[in-house]
Amino acid sequence: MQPGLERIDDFRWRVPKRGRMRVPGLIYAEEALIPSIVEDKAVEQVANVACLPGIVGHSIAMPDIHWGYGFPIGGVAAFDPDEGVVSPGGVGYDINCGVRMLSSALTKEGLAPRLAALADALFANIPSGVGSQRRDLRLTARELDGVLAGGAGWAVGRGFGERDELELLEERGAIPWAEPRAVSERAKERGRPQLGTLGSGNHFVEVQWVDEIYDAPAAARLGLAVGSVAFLIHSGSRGLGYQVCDDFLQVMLRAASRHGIDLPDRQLCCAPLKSDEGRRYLGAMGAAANFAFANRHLMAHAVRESLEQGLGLAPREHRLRTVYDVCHNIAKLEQHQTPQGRRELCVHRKGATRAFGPGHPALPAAYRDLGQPVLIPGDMGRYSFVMLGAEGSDEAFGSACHGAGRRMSRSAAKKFAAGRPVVRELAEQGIEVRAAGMGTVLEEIPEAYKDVAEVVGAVDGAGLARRLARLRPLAVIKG
Amino acid sequence: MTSGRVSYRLLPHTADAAFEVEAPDLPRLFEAAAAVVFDLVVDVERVAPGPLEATVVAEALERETLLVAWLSALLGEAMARQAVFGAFAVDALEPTRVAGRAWGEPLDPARHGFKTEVKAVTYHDLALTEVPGGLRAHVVVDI
Repeated sequence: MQPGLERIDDFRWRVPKRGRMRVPGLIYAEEALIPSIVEDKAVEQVANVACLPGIVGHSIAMPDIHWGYGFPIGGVAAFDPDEGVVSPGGVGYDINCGVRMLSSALTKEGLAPRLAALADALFANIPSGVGSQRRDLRLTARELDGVLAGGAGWAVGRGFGERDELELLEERGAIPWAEPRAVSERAKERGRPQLGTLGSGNHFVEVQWVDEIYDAPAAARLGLAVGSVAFLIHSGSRGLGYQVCDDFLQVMLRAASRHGIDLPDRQLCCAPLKSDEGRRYLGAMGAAANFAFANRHLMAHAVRESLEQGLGLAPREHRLRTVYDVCHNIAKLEQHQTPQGRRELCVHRKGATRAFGPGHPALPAAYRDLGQPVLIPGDMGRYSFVMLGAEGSDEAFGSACHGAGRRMSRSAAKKFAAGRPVVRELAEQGIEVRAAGMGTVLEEIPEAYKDVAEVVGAVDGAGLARRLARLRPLAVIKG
Repeated sequence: MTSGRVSYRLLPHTADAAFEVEAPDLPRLFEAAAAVVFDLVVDVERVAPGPLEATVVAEALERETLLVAWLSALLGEAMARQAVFGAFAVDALEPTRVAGRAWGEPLDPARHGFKTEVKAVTYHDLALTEVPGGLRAHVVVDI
């Protein structure tokens, strides 16, 4: 049964507190998005999360909310450190799935004659597809522990990229409380050959061009100008993260039973933040998050190699530069304002992006006065957005949306696109597609997603983040 | 032992995939559900029941979550070995523990008709129900 929605204003909807809900739900959306939000069980999932012990404020959902398992995709929930819980289902299987953007001095027109060659080079340099592996990077057990402890910093130590890039990554590319020993041998076994690989599903590397700027001086600070080329990398912690989540769901089912936590959905299984299980999960999750930071860092390096070795460009010609790197699936200990004053909370973001406003001490000096860059991929046919976190995000524990959100299931998309030459259709729009499997391309057709402009419009309207730039795809590398 | 494709129903789920499968008894249901999970990854009929063999033991608090633990263990085993399984046998099934085997071969996406990566088997909307002639499992996977 769907809990009713009450309209608060043009961009906010309340899920009233009832039954076992400890707090109300709060969904950010414009009215046009509501029909697709209420047609499945996503609102019920917002209500279920509101039942968890120690939840603070609201059970929140972003405009790209859709039906997940346990938490909705697009869900944000913060928990009190004393009374609250941590839930692997509130982070998801792909721990620290996230996005990194790189800006460049290349222009759409300048790149045009070599775009196909660049797409080929990226596809050759970035292993993609199910179970994709790097044959040139064999990690020992000790090296993998170094990745799990050091994240992107480990990669820099191995000669991939520059140390000053780390400033431009969320958490500087490493969760400091990561605990590699909390990660199972099976998880490490799955992850070891996969560092620096894209994976499949909705993961991608895109070459994009900036087609619209909403604040030119701020965009210039991020290295973005109309007509300039940027790169967007979307991937996570691969099999290592999936296994960490799996391992700890089993731990948390037992923990929830032992701690007497009544679960509205078993996928919401959890343990008190102060419990041994809770602390171990946070340590393992942090380690998986660091794997993901290092993974995106290695793929960013592969982009650089593709430009230099594939196209023969010198660094002064491409001037590739990290814009920012955001996490989509993560639980973090952060300071937030609550009715009891400013305090540390455990914020779960499941398909949501941190979006701290201007002046936040966690932001790199280069962007502190602007607000955090929020990277919002759309679909492979239309556009993506860059936003800047705004003061209004405080209401959502410093969060904004993470993408367009699906409107078709993968099987429905495949049926919808059956027989269509999707790659050729996109090529006719000037978009080069390289994919390990055609099945993924069909599942990821543009029509399978909501229009990300509507999602971004609601986030902007609600004051969570403001639009900075819109980018359109030129080439797409898929798993 | 259950091998090759089994009859199942794919249900709509926006982000993920859900399926329902039926079998005459609980051990056969565990085997059939395993065949479905691998049929989401590849065309399971194209997977030869060898040369790889895996022994899997899973434990859980009760039989519904035991089904997920069993499917997760098989998936984790396959992914760690870069393999796919096409035949499954439950050797011992107790209310909170299952032991079984699976047979398959190294994953060859082209030859096996790769479809999609299954990241994990979830506990969301999980149900085991009695139906005429046996049992039905409802399982949601993350893809």
